[in-house]
Amino acid sequence: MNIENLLKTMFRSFFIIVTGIIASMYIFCMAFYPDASFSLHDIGGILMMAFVSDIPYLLFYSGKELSKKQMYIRKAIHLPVLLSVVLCFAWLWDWINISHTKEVMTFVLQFLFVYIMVFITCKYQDKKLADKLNHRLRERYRSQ
Amino acid sequence: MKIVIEETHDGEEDQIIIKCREMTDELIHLLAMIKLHDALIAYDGNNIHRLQPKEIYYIEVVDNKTFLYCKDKVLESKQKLYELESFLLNSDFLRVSKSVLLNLSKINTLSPALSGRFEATLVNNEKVIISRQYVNDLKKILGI
Repeated sequence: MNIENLLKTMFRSFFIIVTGIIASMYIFCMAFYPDASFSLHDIGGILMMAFVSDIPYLLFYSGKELSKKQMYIRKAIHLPVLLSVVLCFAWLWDWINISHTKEVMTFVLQFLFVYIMVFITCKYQDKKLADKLNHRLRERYRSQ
Repeated sequence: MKIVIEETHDGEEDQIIIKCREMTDELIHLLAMIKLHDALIAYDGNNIHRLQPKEIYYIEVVDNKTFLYCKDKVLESKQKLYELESFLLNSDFLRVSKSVLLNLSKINTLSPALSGRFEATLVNNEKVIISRQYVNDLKKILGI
């Protein structure tokens, strides 16, 4: 991904992350802290977290188009880096108690669930489009 | 010899129709001249090649040099990618990334390559990545 496209992707993902964090916080607090309330400081934290979570996207920077294999490798690096960033913030802003294994595990599983769901959804949509494109290509060959 | 020029309708491909009792030397020479205009000049060291676009699988720019990838040979072109792109306009060639022009008629299959990109496997089993921002052009050409 070249720098121009990367910045566009990072800009878009910033807003997706903010929405994702708010939705996750809502579900998490509903389960563990139903009486929780959030301050202005916490909103700043969400924005800061979204910004820092966006930085690992730089792993996808490449002057040349990445091959499928290179892309999978970078995704495999991106996942633990992003998880570490998110966990650090969750600990820093007291969103989870690091000594409560169950709480940490729930948080990690929730993160992995979202990451994997997004990955599967995108892959499924791309597969559907690839099938359509292959079908049209075959029709094109037949008509030539 | 009578020459008739008819205006084509919108969207109709330009064509040259030759009506004759037999192919005379004069006509064969004329055809060769016309076909010459469709050919691309490429270099292999000191050797000069004349290539028909249908012989080219894809064209790639590497370190500011333009290479034409054929079935089993790679030739260099002195032309820039944008020049070749305009020369090959209305042909089977499509820009699929910042540095690649791909001959659609040489695609065997398309498969997803993560992040909205696709990998084209060519008939000679080479793989070319179709960048996300060029997928829409491909969809348009294939009528999706």
